[in-house]
Amino acid sequence: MHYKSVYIEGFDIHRLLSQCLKEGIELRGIKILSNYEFTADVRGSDFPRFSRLVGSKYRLTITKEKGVKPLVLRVLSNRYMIVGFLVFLIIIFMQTLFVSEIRVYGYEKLTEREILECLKDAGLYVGSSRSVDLNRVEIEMYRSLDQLSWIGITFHGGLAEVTVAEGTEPVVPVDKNQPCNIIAAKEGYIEKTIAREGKVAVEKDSFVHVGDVLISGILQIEDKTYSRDPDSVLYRYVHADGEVYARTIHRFICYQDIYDLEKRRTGRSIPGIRLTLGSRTWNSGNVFIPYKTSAYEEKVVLDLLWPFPVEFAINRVSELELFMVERGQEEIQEQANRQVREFIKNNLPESVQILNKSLKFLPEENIIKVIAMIEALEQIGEKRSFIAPEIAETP
Amino acid sequence: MFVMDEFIYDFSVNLPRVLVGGRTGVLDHVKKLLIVTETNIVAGCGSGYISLSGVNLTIRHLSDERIIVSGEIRTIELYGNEG
Repeated sequence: MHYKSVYIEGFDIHRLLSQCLKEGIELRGIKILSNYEFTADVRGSDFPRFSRLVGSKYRLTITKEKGVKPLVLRVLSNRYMIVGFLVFLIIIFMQTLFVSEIRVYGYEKLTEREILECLKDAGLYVGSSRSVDLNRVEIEMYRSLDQLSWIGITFHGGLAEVTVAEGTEPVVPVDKNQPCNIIAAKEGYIEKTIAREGKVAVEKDSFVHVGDVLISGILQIEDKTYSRDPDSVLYRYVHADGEVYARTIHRFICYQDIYDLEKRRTGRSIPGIRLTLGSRTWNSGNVFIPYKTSAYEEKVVLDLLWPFPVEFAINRVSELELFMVERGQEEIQEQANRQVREFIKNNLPESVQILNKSLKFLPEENIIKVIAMIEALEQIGEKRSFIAPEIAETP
Repeated sequence: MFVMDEFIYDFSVNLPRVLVGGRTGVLDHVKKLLIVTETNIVAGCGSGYISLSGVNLTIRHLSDERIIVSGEIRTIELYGNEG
């Protein structure tokens, strides 16, 4: 709306006001200053008719212009303000074109610093353009970090969210042209040996320690037909290849409570309400709790985000009685099995086959000590290169 | 109030009508203003006049035969054409 504040001077000002009423000219905020002068606000659209009514009988002075139109005109007339506003808009727009923050999720063994360094080398860093080719960055990341099994990059405005998933440590392969043995990476009883190249060095059911040679890459040459010295022992060195399966024993100790805490309701309870306005919460359950031990139950009745965030819930605080109950054997056995499964999941590779497991329960004062022995069948062979003596002796 | 009285109240455009509440007074069917000062406003309504007396009286709005008066209204007087 556009209004003009006018100051009128002249005799019989009530006549002018009466004429305005008659002509349907709207006036606002009429202040009678004296018998000969008053001020008022006239609509911009009514002003030509009003000034015609005023004519030469009264003296008309426009003191101020109010409303959106004069405000816009005033702003537009100030060039520096427009330039400043445009610069501000450009800065805001430019900010959205660059990465302002990078957050990394899901890393375990790798550090955030390492990942950020690699991202920087791949072209994604704080201050870089948002139009960076994410596929190229991801490929670069896979190349530079061997442990990385998956990476996802998403933009939320200027925030880049990088989610990574790490795989297992990569096994450094031995060069195919280099002679090597297959040695035991774990100790256990040999169950099965599959030698594709090399000579089997251990028998079935024999116990091997870590580092023992299982498939040897050193083969003795039996046929000495073309040898200059038939009595000497000659060796041939090969790149041993194959798999060795052994029964490995894993011992694991865990503890359990003898007694279980049982909660029983007494039947006494108090109803209440919870009201949350924005970040402020008032809960009647927090104000008055007459019970030593209680359970809190709640049902949300109203949950609004607009026009303002408000949540209303009804709740009930029920009194509880606690009892110590001795746990049954079956329950203890079940929990022990769960603990064993958890141990296997966390400590043994997925390829391992569980052959047998035994549990031993040793009751102590308030706890039960559970000793679990797990017998597993797993591949324990690991390639270890060696330098052939003839090559080593060569000056 | 009888039906006829309600008709007269609603549709008679030449009778003075005034509504005062607090520091605001609404005068309807105003045809012309006779006196406008800080202490007294007298308006003609065709077949009668309304006079408002008080202190610091100002006309906040004036249009379509209606004026809204602000200020401390102390006295309301109605005059007929005869008076």
